[in-house]
Amino acid sequence: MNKVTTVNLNGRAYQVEEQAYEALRAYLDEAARLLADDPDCREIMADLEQAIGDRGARRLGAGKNVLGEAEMKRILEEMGPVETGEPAAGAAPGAGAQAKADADAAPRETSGPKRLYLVREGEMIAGVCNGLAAYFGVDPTIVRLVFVLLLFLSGGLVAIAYLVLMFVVPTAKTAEERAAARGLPFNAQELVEQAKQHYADLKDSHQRWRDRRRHKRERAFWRSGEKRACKEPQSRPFERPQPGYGARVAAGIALPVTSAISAVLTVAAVFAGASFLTTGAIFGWSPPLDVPPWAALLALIAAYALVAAPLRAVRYASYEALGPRRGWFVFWDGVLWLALVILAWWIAANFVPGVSEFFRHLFHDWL
Amino acid sequence: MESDVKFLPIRKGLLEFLLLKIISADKVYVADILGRLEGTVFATQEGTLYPLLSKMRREDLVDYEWQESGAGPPRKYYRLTAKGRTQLAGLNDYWREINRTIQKLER
Repeated sequence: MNKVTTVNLNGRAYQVEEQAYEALRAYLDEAARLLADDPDCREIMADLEQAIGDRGARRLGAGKNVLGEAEMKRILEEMGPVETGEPAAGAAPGAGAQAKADADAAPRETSGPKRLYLVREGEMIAGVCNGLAAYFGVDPTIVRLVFVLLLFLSGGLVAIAYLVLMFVVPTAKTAEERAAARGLPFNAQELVEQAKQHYADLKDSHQRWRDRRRHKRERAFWRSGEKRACKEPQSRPFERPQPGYGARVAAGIALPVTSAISAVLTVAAVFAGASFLTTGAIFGWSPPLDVPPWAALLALIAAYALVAAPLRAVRYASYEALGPRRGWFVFWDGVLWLALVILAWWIAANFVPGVSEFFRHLFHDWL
Repeated sequence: MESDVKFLPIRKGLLEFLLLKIISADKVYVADILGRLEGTVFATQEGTLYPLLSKMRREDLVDYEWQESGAGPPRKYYRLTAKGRTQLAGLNDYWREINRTIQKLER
């Protein structure tokens, strides 16, 4: 006679003998230990539990409802030890695509220190400015302002450059890529590969969108499993819990509103600075004489940062709430932001006293 | 038996290639894959397959969807992404190159 325990294998209960339980426990603990650094640790654990459960179920039936030690050992033997060893270095990501191109060349290291990527965390349109900012190690807002300025000075040509970059530069998807976004420029060969890839992705995107919806179910499925030694997964977008409908609607409203306010605010701040530098007054208001100009400028920047911070917080919270499939919404929000910046810029450049002078100076002196 | 040991790393490296091949033919779930490899020198177990498939999904080579199975719980059905197909094409070419080289040396 043996004592029997009930175990939960990925959401299903199985009766196993005590020794069988010990063997199972040892296998799963070892698996969790080996997988602790794997970003999909929990999912793989759920898959393994599921597979063990399935194998167990095949051995149970009407006349038998408890798994014994020998059977469990047999099942675990069939499962085989968990192997996490990355396959040979040659099979690193992207190696396949390159294999054709440089079959006899030395393998190019795909984990090169610095590469240009589209960065989709907190992007406005497609993450080009964000990616450039990460690449050059500056604040995205600065890159965006430079972009808007260039847009004006080039008469819109920069927009074409933007579209080309958007199509050609890969998106930083994995944590490694996001790290690499900050750290070698990519070569022309890769540009062509990427353009082909993006085209293929585009054709594939509809199908994938449908499948992503299924991922959601899957998440609920394996999240229900028992917590093991898995480390919390790093912030991968599609592992975050899905916010409720209400939160998403609120985010949908908050995003364009905050975009509008932040666009106007950004332009106002730039022009306040511009008008202060040219006329010594911020929109007609002169700071007291005993305040040095640099202090007034610093105060202006501080005031802008103070007002912009909560707005930015709301924007990022909204991005989160909209979840991973916020794509189009964020795109149009970015377009709105850009349009408002251009509009506010135009109004200010033509009608706000200090600013129009600044522009006259600028064009007169520099151009 | 010695060649078995010598080729161990090669078999490991080729496994991903074979998975791409198997998955490219049809939507498959893990038991299908294990079945296809069973009895070959590439026979594999779940303990190896799940982590590898997970890694391949992270690299955007494969994707899966849940499908209800008649009897048991829903199953993960894997298929290749566009990137997976591109990679498979590249690996196929590379593999042919290797074969040509070996054949040339045998002559």
